[in-house]
Amino acid sequence: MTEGTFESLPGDENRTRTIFTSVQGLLLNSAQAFDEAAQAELQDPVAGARSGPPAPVLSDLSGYAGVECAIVLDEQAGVSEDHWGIHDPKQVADWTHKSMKEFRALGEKLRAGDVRRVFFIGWERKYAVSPVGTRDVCVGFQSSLQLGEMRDILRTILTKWVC
Amino acid sequence: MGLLNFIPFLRRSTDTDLTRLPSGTFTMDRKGSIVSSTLPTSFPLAHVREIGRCVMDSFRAARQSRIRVNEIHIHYSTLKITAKEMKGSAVVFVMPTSLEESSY
Repeated sequence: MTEGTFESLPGDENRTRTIFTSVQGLLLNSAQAFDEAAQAELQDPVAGARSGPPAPVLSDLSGYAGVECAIVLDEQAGVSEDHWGIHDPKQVADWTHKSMKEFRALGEKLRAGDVRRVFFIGWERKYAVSPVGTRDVCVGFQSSLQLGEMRDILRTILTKWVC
Repeated sequence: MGLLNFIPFLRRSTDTDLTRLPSGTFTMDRKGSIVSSTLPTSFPLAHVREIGRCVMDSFRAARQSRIRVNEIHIHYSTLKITAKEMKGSAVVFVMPTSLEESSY
């Protein structure tokens, strides 16, 4: 076939829509949206309800298979700049910051170069931490994922996502 | 040639000597003392202790934050360190980063 025509038709309202996000991801996104809407209303009952807070960037990561949570930290201060799917971000931020600070100092002592990636393996969850500019990005994965799979997903996230 | 060695600031510092990247394993007990090591003797013991201290501190910090971690993989530009916790003690693997891994 060398030629043809096409036309844009309006979307079929009766079409069955499929959600590709995991159940956990949907629940977390909903809970976060509720929390933030409630917080915005408390701060400014009129404007908060009308405009709402800006959409959280990290929730987009729920589209990646096996990704359960994420947190972005300021490399120097260790303060959480954004987080998604983490119940207590301060605890995770403190632990990540302390570990990364130690590993950076160790790298300097050993003259091994910069820290490129750190993987923390646990029975319940696996974490991958990667420096991006002046920030540290920590992504939590399902424990069933293999290290290679985590590495590939992390690489995809970091190449597609600009901090 | 030896004349330059008489001038202090032109003398070659031992700090800049090239050393081979270490490759080997060491184990630590609960107190953080080195129990056994297959790392080359040219690799300073102080560095081995420092690696051990860092990984043990990270395991401890994870426990304090109620995050269960039993294995850590640290990828540097030239070196890879893997630490596995075993009921309080730990085994640590140190190896140079391969060409394939360095592309990550």
